[in-house]
Amino acid sequence: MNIKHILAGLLVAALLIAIPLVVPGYLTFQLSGVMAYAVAAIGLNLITGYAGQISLGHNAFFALGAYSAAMSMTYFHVHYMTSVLIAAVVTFVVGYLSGFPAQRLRGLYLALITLVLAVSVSPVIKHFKAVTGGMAGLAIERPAPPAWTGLSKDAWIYYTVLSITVLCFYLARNFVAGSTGRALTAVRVSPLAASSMGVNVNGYKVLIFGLGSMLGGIGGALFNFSIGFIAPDSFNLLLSVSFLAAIVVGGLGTIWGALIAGLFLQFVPSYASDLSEALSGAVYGAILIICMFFMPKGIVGSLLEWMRARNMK
Amino acid sequence: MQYFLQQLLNGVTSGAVYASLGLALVLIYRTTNIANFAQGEMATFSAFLTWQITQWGVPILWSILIVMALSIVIGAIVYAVVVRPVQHKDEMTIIIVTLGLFLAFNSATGAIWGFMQKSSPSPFPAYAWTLGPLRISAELLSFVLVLLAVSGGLYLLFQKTRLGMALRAAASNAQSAQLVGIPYTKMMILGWGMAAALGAVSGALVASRLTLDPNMMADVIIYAFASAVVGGMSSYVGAVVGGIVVGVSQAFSTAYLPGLGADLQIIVPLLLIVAVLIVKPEGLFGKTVAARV
Repeated sequence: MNIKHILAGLLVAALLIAIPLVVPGYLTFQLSGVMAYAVAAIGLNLITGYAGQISLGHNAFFALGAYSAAMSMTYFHVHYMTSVLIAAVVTFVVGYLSGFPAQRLRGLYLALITLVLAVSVSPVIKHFKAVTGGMAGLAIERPAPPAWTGLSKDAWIYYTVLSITVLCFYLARNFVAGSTGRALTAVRVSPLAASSMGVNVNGYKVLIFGLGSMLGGIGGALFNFSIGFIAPDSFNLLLSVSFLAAIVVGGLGTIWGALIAGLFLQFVPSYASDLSEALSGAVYGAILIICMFFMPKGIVGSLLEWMRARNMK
Repeated sequence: MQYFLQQLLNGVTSGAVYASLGLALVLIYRTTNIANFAQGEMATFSAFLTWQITQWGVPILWSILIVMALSIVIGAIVYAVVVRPVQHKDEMTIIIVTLGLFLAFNSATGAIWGFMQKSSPSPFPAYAWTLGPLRISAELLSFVLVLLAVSGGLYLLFQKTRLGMALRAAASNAQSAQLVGIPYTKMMILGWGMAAALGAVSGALVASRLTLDPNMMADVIIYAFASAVVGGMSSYVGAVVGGIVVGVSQAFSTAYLPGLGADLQIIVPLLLIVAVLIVKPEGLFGKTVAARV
């Protein structure tokens, strides 16, 4: 940590704070969405990128977070920051518990079970329409800025989401940077070697499922703030596959790849549907396949490799 | 009792559909060790292709046969272009690539034929016999016959012909198979082609029951995976039995658990998969594989 790093950090911070003051309101609104997706993407990246547990069910935890936050605000009138906390606790507990069956399954079978989870999200929401609003969805009061700030609603939401996002990125980075990160890599690359080195393989798998799901849930709760409305059809299988596509493009097993994943999830669907409504799925499919063929490490992973190679010279 | 038997027959009818797609999944899993998440969408594509050909005035049965032949080509191209380069990479890469194929086929179908529902002519007579209190439709009989023909054909091919033996050899040990002169890549291409043709059959079955719709296989593929997993993922007999088990349990849950409603039907295959994987991960018919470490 030298003076250059500190200056760069301050510059980035100043830039992030200045954004809502200079860019148009709609872009501010979209950037809040980017951060909500990015937080959820770190979660999937912990599960899939670091621990190597492929999950197609991330939409379930995103939806669970969004709905538990929205319902606690609608029915119990809790503060919006409390709703994020509730979403985090609920998704952690559910994710942790579902980690127990998940630890026994590898690759294909885990993908299958989580696939079924992914497609059952929207039927379950529709079934309990008395509390979830069913097909009609649920409107959430978006956080209002205190009068003294003089900020617009979009800017206030941006700052709220930004502060939680920075916290999540900071915690996730610290989580994987130390011995835990190395243990997770060992669990992914060789479970046998990991356990013979004294790493509790199953314990880590369950824990990472809980934490990753929790981040997915927090992302869902933040998504509420930025959109102000949720409906079951926003949480379909396509969302799950998009999450996976996004972290593959950003870089599996990299924390910063999640940021690119957030940008991808927010902007690619709208540009793809500009091209052709029907072909947006094909765009995702093509991106997934091309990435796996030519850039399996994703954008951030490839950049890191390139930088490392340059430093070696 | 009569209600029970009628539900049982309904279950067998849907089970035949799941089993036929489940057989396609097992075929690909056995030959290339890949779970093809795109199998259902490829079947949908074939079903739309069949519809297109009937629109040009070809009778439905001929259209299905033509599309089965075309599907072999489609499956072969998909394998040669997309799957083969990643076949020996890690499982995650392969799963992601087949998911990419899933999206690509789904949206290609929608882009070409639109997302409006279409009704497809059924190749089966709309006739039903009444046997005492029971109603046995020609649809049920035809579905079961199709399933028997398909599984019988697969059995004869794999057990009684040189080609089938070559296919099995290539699947079980690529290197040794090549050493005795079996063209490995050709066998893999053939496996994917045959699976795509099987998919076309199940697409035709689904289309004859319901309307054509680009998302018509979304649930069916999950039931088919459930069938394959219940049967042990690599057993043909298992896939057929699994398909019937899944179809019947789905029919019974609709009939006897009305509390679930139409929305929660999907929970039944979920519970089946979870139960089988946790209690007996190798499935009902699978062999326990010892892994060398």
